[in-house]
Amino acid sequence: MNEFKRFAPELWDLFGKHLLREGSDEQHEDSKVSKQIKFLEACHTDSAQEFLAHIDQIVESVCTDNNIRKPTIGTEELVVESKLCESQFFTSPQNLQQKIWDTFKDIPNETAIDGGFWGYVVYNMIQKGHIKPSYLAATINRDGNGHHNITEALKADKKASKLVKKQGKGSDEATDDQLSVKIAKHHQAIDKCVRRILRSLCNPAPRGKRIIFNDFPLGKSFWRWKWADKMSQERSLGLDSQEILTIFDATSYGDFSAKMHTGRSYISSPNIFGGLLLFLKATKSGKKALAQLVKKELVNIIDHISYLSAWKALEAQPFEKNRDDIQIIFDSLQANANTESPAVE
Amino acid sequence: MPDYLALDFPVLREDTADFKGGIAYTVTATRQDETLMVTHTLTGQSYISRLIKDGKAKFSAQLFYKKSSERKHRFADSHSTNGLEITATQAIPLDFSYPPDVTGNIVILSQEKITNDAESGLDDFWADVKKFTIPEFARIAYHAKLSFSSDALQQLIKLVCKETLAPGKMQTLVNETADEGTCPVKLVCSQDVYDELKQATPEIQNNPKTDRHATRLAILTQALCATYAHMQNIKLPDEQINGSLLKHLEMLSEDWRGENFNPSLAATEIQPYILSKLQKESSDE
Repeated sequence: MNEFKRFAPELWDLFGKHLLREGSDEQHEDSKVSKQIKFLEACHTDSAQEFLAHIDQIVESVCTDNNIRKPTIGTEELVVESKLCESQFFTSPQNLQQKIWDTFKDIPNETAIDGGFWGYVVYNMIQKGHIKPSYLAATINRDGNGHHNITEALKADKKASKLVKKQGKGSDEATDDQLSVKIAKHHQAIDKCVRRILRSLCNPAPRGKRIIFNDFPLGKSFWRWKWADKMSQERSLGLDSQEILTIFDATSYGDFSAKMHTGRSYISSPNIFGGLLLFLKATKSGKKALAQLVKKELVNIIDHISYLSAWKALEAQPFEKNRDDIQIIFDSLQANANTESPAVE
Repeated sequence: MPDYLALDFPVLREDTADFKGGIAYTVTATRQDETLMVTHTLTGQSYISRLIKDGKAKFSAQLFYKKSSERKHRFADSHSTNGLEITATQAIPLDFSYPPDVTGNIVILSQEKITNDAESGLDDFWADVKKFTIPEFARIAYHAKLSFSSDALQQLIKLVCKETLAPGKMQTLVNETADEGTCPVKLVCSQDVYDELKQATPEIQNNPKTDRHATRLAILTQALCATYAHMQNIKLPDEQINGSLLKHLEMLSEDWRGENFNPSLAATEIQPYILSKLQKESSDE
C-alpha cells in the first residue's frame, strides 16, 4: 500500500522554527525578522509559484543544515478537489465538510495526527490553485482578511526600520530604550502574522500539536467528522453520524476540542463521550432555553466530568450511566448557579 | 503522588496510610513490538484482594495516547494467585505506532457493602468504621502513571547569571504571558550554578553518565517543579499563554489544570532524579 505523501516529521518541525523567534535567540533577531519578511512578501504576492518556490527554498536550507536527506515521505497525494474562497477555507461550510471527510476518511490514524501530512495537503492545494497563499494569514471569516493582515505586518516592518535608523543618532539612552520598545512591538506584529500562516499550514512550531485538531481549518472539520464517525460505530450508543454531527455542532466542537485534545482529555474515552452525547441529545430535544443553558455550561460540565473520573472509572461505565452522571453534574451546577444569583425583584 | 480526594471508602495508593504494611499494588508496562504488556500485582490480604478473587473487582489499564489525546481502557480478563500475591497480565495491541502513557488501577464492578474485619487489611485510621459502601465503578487502588516519552527544554528556559547572588542560589521566574518567541521561564542563578547549568545538554537525558550530569539535571527538575506549581495557579485561557510554555505543558501526562495535579511528580516524570548516579563514585567528565 502506498504511503500518503507528507513532509518529513523532523523537517516540518524545523521548518517552523526556522521562521520563528525562539528562546533566547536575541542575537539573531535581525536575521530572523529578515527571514519572516521575505516569507510574508512571498505570501503577499498571492502567486502560488512564488510562494511555493520560497517554501521549497526554506525546505532545502533546513534539510542541508540538519542533514535531512528526504524532505518528503510517501507517494500518494491527497487534496480537496475544490477551488475555495478565503472564507470557505477559514470556516468550512457543510458541503465542504462532507468533501473534506470523503477525501480523508480512510487515512490511518498516524497520518491524521501528522502535521507534515496536512502541511503537504495545503501545499498541494496552493499548487493546484484551489486556494491562494494569502488565505493562510486570515484571522476572521471575511474574504480579503488574510491579504490585509500581511499588508499590515509589512507596514510594521517599514515602521520598525525607520525607528532603527533613529536609534543612537544623538538621542539619549532613555529615548533609545523607548525606540527599542516600539521596534519590538512592530517585530511582534510581524511574528504574529507568520505564526498565523504556519498554523494554517498545520505547522506545530507555534503552538504544538493541538493545532491539528482545533486551529488548522481542514483539521477542525476533519476531526469533528472523525469523532462522529467513530462514535456512530458504537452500536449500543444507537446514534448515527449525522445525529452526532447535529449534537456535536461546530460551536460545541470548539469547546470539546479545547478539552479533548489536551491533557484534560477524559472525554475522548468512548464510554464517557458517548454518555455526553446522549445527555446533549436529550437536552437538544427539549426546550430551547435548556439547550442554550447546557451549551453555556458545556465547558464546566466537561471539567466536572474530569473531576469525577479521578475516582470513578467512567471509561468503564456504560453510556447510559455516564449520561445519568452528567445529568447530575448539570443539575448540580444549575442549583449552585441559582443559589449564587441575586434574587430578581 | 497527587492529592487524593476525600472519599468515604479506603483506597490503596502509594502515599496513603489507609492500609497495613505489606499490602501494595504495583504495575509495570513494557513494549514488545506492536503489543503493550501490562502486569498488575496486588500483594497482601485486604478487602481488595477478596473482591478480586470473588470476581467483584478487576485490574484495569487506562491508556493515554499523547499525540492524539485519545484515551482507551482495558480490563484484565483474568488473574492468577500465588499465596498472598495476585497478578494479572494484559497483552494490549497498540492503537498507534508509539506507546501510550499507562495508568493501572483496580475497579469495583458493582456497589458493595464491605465489613471492616481482621482481613480487610485496613489500618487504625478506619478502626471506627465497621462497614462502608463502595459505589459501582469506583477505583479502589491506583498506581502512578507510567510514561514512555520525554521532550526538550530549550524553548522553555533561559539561564541568567546574577553575580550578586551568593553561591548555590537559583530563582525560577515564570512569565506565562511572555511574548511569543521569548523564553517564558528564567532561571536566575549564582555564578557557580550558572556555570554548571550552561554545560547541561538541552535535551533531557534519563541516563546521565556522571554524577555531575545527574546533579545538573536534578537542578532542572527543581526549576520545572517551580514552573508547574506557578502554572497550576494561573487561570488564563490558553490563547493568552506563551506558546512554548503551553506546548511544554501539553506533553505532561497529568492535566496541569487538574484538581489532582502534583507539580513535583510531573517534574520528575519529565526529568527524573537519577539517584544512583549521585550516590555512586564516578569520574568527572
